[in-house]
Amino acid sequence: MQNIIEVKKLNVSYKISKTEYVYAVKNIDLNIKKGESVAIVGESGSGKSTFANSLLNLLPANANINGSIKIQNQEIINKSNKDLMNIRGKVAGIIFQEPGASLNPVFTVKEQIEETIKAHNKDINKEELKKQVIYLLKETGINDVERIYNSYPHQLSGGQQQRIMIAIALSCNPSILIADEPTTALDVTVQLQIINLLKKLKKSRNLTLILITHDLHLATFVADRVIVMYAGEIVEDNKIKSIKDSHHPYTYQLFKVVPDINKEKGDFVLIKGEPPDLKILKNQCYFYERCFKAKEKCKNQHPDLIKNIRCFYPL
Amino acid sequence: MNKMVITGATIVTLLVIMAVCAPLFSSYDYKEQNIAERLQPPSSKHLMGTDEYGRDVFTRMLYGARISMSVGLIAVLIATFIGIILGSISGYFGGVVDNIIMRFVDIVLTIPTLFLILILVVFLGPSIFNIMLIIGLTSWTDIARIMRAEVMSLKKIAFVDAARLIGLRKREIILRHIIPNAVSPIFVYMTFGISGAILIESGLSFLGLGVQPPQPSWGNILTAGKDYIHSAWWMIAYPGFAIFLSVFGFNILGEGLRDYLNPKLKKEDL
Amino acid sequence: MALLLVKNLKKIFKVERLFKETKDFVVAVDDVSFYLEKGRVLAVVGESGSGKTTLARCIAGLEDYEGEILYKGKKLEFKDKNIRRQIQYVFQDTYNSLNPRMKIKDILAEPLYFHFKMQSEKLNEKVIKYLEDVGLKEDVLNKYSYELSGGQRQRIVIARALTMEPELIIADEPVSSLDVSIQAQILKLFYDLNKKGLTIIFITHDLRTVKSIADEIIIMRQGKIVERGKVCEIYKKPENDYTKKLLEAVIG
Repeated sequence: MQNIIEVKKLNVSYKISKTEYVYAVKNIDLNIKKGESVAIVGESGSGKSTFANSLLNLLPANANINGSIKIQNQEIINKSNKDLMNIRGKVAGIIFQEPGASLNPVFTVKEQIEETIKAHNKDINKEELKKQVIYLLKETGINDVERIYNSYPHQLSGGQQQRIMIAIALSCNPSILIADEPTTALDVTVQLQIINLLKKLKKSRNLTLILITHDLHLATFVADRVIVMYAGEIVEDNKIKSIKDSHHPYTYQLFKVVPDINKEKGDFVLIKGEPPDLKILKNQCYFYERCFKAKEKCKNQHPDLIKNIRCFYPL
Repeated sequence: MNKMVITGATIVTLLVIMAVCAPLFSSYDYKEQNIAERLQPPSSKHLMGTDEYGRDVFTRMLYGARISMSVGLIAVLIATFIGIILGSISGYFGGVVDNIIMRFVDIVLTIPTLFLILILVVFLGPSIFNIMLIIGLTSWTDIARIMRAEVMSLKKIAFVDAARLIGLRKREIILRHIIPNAVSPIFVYMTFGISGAILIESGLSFLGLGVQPPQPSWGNILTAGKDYIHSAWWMIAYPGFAIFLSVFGFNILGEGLRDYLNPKLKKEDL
Repeated sequence: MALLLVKNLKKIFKVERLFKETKDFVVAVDDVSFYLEKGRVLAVVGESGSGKTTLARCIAGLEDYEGEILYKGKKLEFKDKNIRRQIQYVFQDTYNSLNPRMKIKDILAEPLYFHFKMQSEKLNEKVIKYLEDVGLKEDVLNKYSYELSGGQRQRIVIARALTMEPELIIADEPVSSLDVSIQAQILKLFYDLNKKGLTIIFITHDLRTVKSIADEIIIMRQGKIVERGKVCEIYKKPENDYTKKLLEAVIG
C-alpha cells in the first residue's frame, strides 16, 4: 500500500524574540499509509499540535519550517496558500478542539457547509448543493436535520457543533481526516459519541485517520498505530493496544500514570518532575530526568530512533 | 517597544526637558521688554523672533511649555483620581450605587464642557491652579466609565474570589486586587487626557481666560500674534506648532501604549 | 457528627438578556441535600450544566443560596473569621486564580498577613513551609504566576488554600487543565492531605480520576442529585440510568 503522507526530517521552530528560537518539533521522519488509523499522543510541549498544524501548513507567522511533508506525493512546505487549496479540504480535512471557535457565529450551518463546498466546486447548482449538505448532516449523526440546517452555531450544543465541523471537514471528500483533540472540550457522554462517529466514518469513507490527543486510552481505543511524542520528538511508533505493547519507558510510565477507572483509592504511580523546558534541551535523552530506567549512557548521549523506539534500553 | 510608543515618548520627553530646563536653554527673561527690538523675525539673537513688546518668543515658548505640561499633568491626575474612585465604586457595588453614579456621569456629560469651563473660570478667576482644577473636574467621565467596565469584569475573576476566601474586606479587595489590574487601559486614556488638557488650556489662554500676562502660555502668545498675522508669522507659527506637536506626541504615545499593553495579556502555549 | 450538612440547597440564576427584560431563570442547583463526614473525600460528578460548580461555590461562600448549610452542627456563617478560614476552595483555572501582578511570595503572604496578622520572620517561615508542603522550592517565590508551569501554579493555589489551615477544601476540577503526568502528582498531593486529616470535596467530570481519590460520590444532573453512595459500590453496581450512561462512556 502506498504512503499517503511522507514526512522527512521535519523541523519546526518558533521565533519568540529577536534572537531566540524554540524548537517545537525536531527531526520527524514519518510515513502513513492510505487507510491507516494513527494516534499521536503527547503532553504539552510534545509538539503534537505543531505537527498536526504543519501537515496542512496552518502554522502561525513566527514559525520556521524545514524538511519535507508530502501528501499524495505533493510537497506542502513552502507552497503558497493558493496551491495548498488543492490539498486543504480536498485531500485532507481537519477538525480542532473547540468547535464553537471554528464556526462563524453570524452564518448559519447551511451557509458554512455550503461555503466550503462552493470553494472547491464553483459551478455546483443549488439543488445539488442542498442535497450534499443534507447528506453530510445525516452522515454525521445529526437528528433534527431541517432545524439544524437553518440554525446558528450558538443555538447548538458542543456535540452538535463538532458534528458540523466534521461535516465541513468531509464535505469535499478528502482521503485524510486530521482530528486535533476533537473531544477534549466536550462532555463525557458526548465524547464517546463523537469518537464512535469518527471510527464509523473512517470505515465508511475509507479514510486515513490521524488523531491527536493527550489521552492514551483514547488513542488505543481509536487507532491501531500509536505514535508517542515527547519534547518535540517521536519516542515510540508502534501498534500499541495496552501497556504490554509499550517499549519506551515514557510510554510504559504514561500507561501507569493515566487516570484509570480500575484503580483504587491511593493507587498512585507517578512520573517525577515535569516536561522539559524546550528552550534549554541538553545533549542527552530528553526523558532522562524522569525515567525510571535511566542509566549513565542516557545522561550523556541523545538516542536516535531505532526500530521506531528512541531509547538505549527499550523495554 | 513599537514605533508609536518610541516616537511619542521621544516627543514628550523633549517637551518635558525643555519645560523643566527652560533657564538652561535661554538666558533671556520672559518678561523682559525691549521695545526697540519689537516684532523682529527669527535670527541668531532671537531664535523665534520677538513679540509686540520686544520679548524673546523662544524664551516665552519655553516657559509656556511649563504651563502646558503642568496643567496637562495635574488636570489629568485630578481627573484620573476622581474617575478611578467613582468607576471602581460603581463597578464593584453595582445596583443602586452604580445607577446613581452613572446617572451623575450622564448629567455631567450633557453639560457642554467648554462652556462649563468658561463659566467656572469667569466665576473662580483665571489662575493656573483654578484651570487645572476645573479641567480635572470636567474630564473624569471617560476614565470612570472604563474603570467601571474593567472592575465589573474583574469582579468575576477567580483571584478576586480567592481574595474573598481569605476573608479580605471589600475595600482591601478593591485596592489590592482590582484596581492594580484595571489600570492598564487607564494609562492610555491619561495620555489622551493630557493632550486634551493642553488644548483646553491653550484655548482658554487664547480667549484671555487662561494664564494671564505677563506669564506666557502658548495660547496667549497666539492671542497676541493674531493681531500681527501678516507681519509677524513667528508669533503664530511657533506656538501653533508647539501645541500641535505636544498633542500629537501624547496622542501617539497613547495609541502605541494601547497596542503594546493588550497582546501582553495573552500567553501563547506551544 | 457530620462535618457538613447540606439541606435543600437551591440556587437560581436570573437570565440576563441584552435588550429584553426577562423573567427567565435557570435553576442551577435544585433541592440538593447531602452530608459529609470529617476526613472523607466526596466526589461530585456531573457534566456541564449539572450544577456541580455552583453547588461548590455555594458551600464555599462565594454565592448566595436558598436552603440550609450546617457546618459542625451550626448554620454556616462566613462573617465569622474563624469559620471563613476553615472552608477553602481550589479553582479550576490556574491562570486566573492568581493575581498576575503579585509575586508568588506576596500571594502566599497575603492570607497569613491579613487573616493571621503574621509578620516578617514568622511569616517568611510559614510561607516556605507551605511551599514545601506542596512540593515546591523557594526559587518560585520571586516569580510571577505566568512564569510558572500549570502544575506549579496549581500547587501555589493549593498552598494558598492551605495557609488558612482549613478543615475542608473544595477543589473544582483542580487537575482538568493539567498534563496527565502532572495530574497524578496533584491528585497524590490531595490524597496525602486527606491522609493528614483534611476533608475534601472534589468536583470533576472525569470518572477515572474519582476512583483513585474519593471515598464517596454524588452524581449530579441538571441541578439534582441522581445517585449517591460509596465509590466502590456505585462503580460496581450503578442503579441510575444516567450513572450507567456515564460509566459506559469512559474510554479505557
